[in-house]
Amino acid sequence: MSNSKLYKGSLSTIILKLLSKEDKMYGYEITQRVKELTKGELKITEGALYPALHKLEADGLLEVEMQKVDNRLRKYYKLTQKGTTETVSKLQELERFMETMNGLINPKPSLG
Amino acid sequence: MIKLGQEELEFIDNYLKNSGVEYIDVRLEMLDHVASAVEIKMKEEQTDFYETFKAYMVVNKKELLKSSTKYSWSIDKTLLLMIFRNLFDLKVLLTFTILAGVLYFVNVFSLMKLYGALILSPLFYLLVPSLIYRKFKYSFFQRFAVYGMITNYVTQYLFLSFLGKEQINIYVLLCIVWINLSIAFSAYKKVKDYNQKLSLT
Repeated sequence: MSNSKLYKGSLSTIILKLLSKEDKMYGYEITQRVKELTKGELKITEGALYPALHKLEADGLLEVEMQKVDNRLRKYYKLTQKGTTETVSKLQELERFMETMNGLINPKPSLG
Repeated sequence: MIKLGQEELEFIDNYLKNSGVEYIDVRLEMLDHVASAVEIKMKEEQTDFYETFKAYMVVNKKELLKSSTKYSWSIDKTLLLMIFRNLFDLKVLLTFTILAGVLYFVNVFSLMKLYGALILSPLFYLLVPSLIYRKFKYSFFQRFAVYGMITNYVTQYLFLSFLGKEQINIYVLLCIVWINLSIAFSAYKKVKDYNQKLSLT
């Protein structure tokens, strides 16, 4: 990822979340969807994306399907059953993290 | 939507190959990534292929090559899991049973000689094919060879230097044969799978 190291730890969760909305996606498509959803704020580089995808595949969270598209082979990634379950827990974990950070950055003024 | 032709795809593939991305399986995903990016840029900016490709590479080459050169332990995990699963594949079990039967009925003259042949077996079932088909390089093939050598040399060390060679019996050898069969089977299955898919392009 080019923008910030802050996003780095969330890359797997971002990929899983995107795939939970689609049947299957390929590498370039993922980078473009992230760019589009974040209005260009977040750019996932190839150097970060593919190792992350391969790790998720090795962990059994994603499976690969190869298809011939436009004269070339394309590797599509899709969630496995385990990946679907893991997405829910990773998103909950991320939400808790964001709440905690929000509490730290914007503490509510105490009444006393 | 602009779609790249065979000649342009080959140009990208050769460029990646000359940039050090030697393995077909790694290049395949990279080729699709670059081609998809170039197609979109050509449409958006109304530029020709070579101009767009050059501009794309100036900005992205470093990151692109980074993903290919990074050693990924996750690939080892996938391959080792594959070897484990294939231990129980019907074809592996059948070949193993036949080999075990032959060893049982044929009077093995020397367990140590058989063991010696077994240790060198990855050279024949992996190294020789990889030399013959050296034009078709797959990143995972070398790893399978390494797993085979590690299995055989670690057990050799364990029995010859640690437990003692008198501990080597036919059952130990059969276990090593079984693991080697699964490694060989996994490697061929994966290569066959890629070759079949590549013949589609």
